[in-house]
Amino acid sequence: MTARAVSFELNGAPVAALARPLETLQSVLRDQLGMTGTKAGCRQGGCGSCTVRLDGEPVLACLVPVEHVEGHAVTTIEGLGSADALSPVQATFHERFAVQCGFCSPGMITIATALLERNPAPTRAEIAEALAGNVCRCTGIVPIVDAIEAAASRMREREGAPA
Amino acid sequence: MNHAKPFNVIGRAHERRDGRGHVTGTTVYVDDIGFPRMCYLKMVRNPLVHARIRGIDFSEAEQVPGFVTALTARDVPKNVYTILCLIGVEPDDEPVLAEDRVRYRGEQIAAVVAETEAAAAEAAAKVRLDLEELPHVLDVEEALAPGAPVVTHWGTNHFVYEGHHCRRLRYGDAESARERADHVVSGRYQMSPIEHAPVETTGCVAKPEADGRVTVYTNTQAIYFSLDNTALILGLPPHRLHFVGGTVGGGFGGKVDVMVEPIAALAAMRTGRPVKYMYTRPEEMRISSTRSAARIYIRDGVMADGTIVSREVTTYHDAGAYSRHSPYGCTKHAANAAGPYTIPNVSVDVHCVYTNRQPSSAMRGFGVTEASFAVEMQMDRVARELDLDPWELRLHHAYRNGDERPYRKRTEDASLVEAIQAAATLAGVELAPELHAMSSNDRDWGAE
Amino acid sequence: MGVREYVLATSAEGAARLVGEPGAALMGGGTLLMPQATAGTLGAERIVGLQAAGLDHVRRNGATAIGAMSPLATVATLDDLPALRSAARGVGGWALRNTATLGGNLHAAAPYGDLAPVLLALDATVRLVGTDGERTAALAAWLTEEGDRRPEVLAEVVVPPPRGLTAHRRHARRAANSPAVACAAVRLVIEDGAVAEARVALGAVAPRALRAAAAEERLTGAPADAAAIAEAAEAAAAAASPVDDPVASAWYRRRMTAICVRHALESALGEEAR
Repeated sequence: MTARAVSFELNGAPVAALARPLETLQSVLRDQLGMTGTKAGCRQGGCGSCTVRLDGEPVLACLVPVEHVEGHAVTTIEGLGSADALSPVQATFHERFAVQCGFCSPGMITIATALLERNPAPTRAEIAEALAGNVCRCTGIVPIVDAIEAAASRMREREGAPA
Repeated sequence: MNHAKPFNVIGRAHERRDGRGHVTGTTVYVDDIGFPRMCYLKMVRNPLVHARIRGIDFSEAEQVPGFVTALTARDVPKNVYTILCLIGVEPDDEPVLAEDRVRYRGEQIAAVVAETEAAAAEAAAKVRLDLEELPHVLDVEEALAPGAPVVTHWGTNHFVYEGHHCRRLRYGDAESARERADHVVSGRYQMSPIEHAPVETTGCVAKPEADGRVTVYTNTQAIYFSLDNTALILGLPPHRLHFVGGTVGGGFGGKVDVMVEPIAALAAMRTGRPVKYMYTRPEEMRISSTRSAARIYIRDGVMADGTIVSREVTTYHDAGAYSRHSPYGCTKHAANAAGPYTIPNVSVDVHCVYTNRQPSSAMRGFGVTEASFAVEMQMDRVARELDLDPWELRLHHAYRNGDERPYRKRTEDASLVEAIQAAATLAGVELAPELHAMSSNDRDWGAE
Repeated sequence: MGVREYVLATSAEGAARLVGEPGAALMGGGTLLMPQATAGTLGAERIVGLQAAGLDHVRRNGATAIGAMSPLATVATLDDLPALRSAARGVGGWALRNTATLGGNLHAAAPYGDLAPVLLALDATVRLVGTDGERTAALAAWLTEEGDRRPEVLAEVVVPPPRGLTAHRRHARRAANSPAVACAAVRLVIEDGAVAEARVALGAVAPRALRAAAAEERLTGAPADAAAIAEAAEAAAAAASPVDDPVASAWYRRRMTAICVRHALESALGEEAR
């Protein structure tokens, strides 16, 4: 079995990892690169807790062979904000208790951020559709939809658009 | 009440202490933890349902590169897990690792430890089991019928409550009241076993320390249960263990049983290395405990004016192969089986039944949730069969302050009537004026 | 155990050559194979990937040629093929659709594989590339091919310009991110108030997607009224061969087949009102 070096951009900085054949991006992020914010809830692509961005597109890190990100840009939850500089989506999740156990939160926040970049004023139905691949067993999803709606409004206000 | 100063906490918005960690992905969950030289534990599980273990062959597993060690029942100092032993309740019925028999599909038989998760999984898959299949029973009533395969080691398929075959509640004389009633309404209600399905799977990391203690990082909901049970199982004084927890990626009652810490701690002590034992998603869904699949029969004696004068409940609670929290859940069920209603004659029999299914255990209001489901379905059935208004039926029977419950406690601080009225408003249902006027206080305190 | 090598082919023909060797298997987007690779249950030592084989195109010249490596997210934007778009949107969630591919979905075993029924209803063909050349086959024929297949790669799906009214319906236990209990795709060409051409295709209720011939015959040559729809739906349910699995019982799958077909037919005919 041959391991090979894979180089890519992670949260804006160049990184390199040593990957077994078909080792997942999830495994490399968590076990080699210290990025444990991306979770491993099922390793089958069913729960969405490993959602990351690949060249801006949301993907499930547990389904992506790390060889496929060679030369590409990966963004994880760690690249979104920090405890004293929360992104708008992180802030509304925190303020509106869209977080209970927190395990689904990185995936939810990641895909919500991707949604709002493409659609700054989504309807609740569009938000729900965007979240369809992310499982939350705690909140019943409604507080999460509320938080995303609030983040969208806050971001539009900052841009000077009507809230 | 009069306060000189304003409150500091009440009435003010507060941040969750761990909220920022959760939304930035910096909160540490158990699977995020790793240590140098950490190895991985995978469990060899029963592929059949009910079987006698004739032999276990590790020779092929040992050849897998990275294999470190394997543990069987013989290696466990006190090979018993019984959550209720901590409060002196018997029986000790569940082994940490199976000895001569396995009683449900997925039951743990042997623990394999290896350098990598992949090696541990490969080695576990290569353990050869010599099993003699035994007849099994999967239905609660079949399990209680004569001639059913016996699940337990004490010979009956029911938990024995102080010498009795079921948990019983008797209040008034339900049988006579039913015989005098104008109508009898009967129903059969069946719960499915419900899986908690937390997004984070059950697991722990056990780490031997240089001073002889073992630190266990765990996502248990019940860290004191876990520490105390682990101490009993390993034959250690509790101060030799240091349990670190409190961050649970979804529990709902599914992380209350002590399923992973004892064996991981034992493996850590044996190997002198940190050991990680996380359930895979298939393990979490297939073999972890569930809510009980309870079968509930309710028979009500009802007068022509709609007054329920008697309620008889017979419940078969499917505990699965081992007790865990079921005997306790059945007691809660017995107390609540008649529902939040004042009925003068109540008789409840709750059978805690053992079958060869995966053990059921705690889950969000277990024992009571099942009763609520069955009772409310039964109230609707009574209303339907006797052409009564379901809102009026409930408001009439809802307990009031001062009413005696079937377990002989006086009702206090009741607000059920008001809650039903509020529900009607939210649902857009207009209640008749006399129903609107009802309150939790409209029975005289102490009147009988 | 475990994958020893992952090779990225640079063309469909190159992939066909590599996958012909013993112990090799093909991988598209990987959404079905990667969980097995992670669990160590893949059963092949060498995996040949198509990520770099240049098969992610969408070309239109009357017909629509969709490369097998087109992500389902791309298929979900094909507004001129609304039934196919609907089927793609029903698979998993947004992130999964960015990785899952058309070709992978066509190879998926039941209950997965929602796109094949729509492509059957649209009379799609597939272009298969082998080591000694390529061939074109009707999708229906490819799905039922038995025996040892020569090593070849499904490189492209060609959808002729759709004639008639189309619709797709799927039923699953949850509203999203859930495998189908049953799915149906239909196409009706109406001439002079009667059905001139009918396609009724089913998914998730048989080992591979299939056309329900008896349902199609019942519809052809007569007005598509409520009685015809009901009888076609029952005929389709009879054509299914579902099994009990953790998702649904065979009984339930068969009942939902009839309902999905009826809803799909009603939906297709509802288009005419526009």
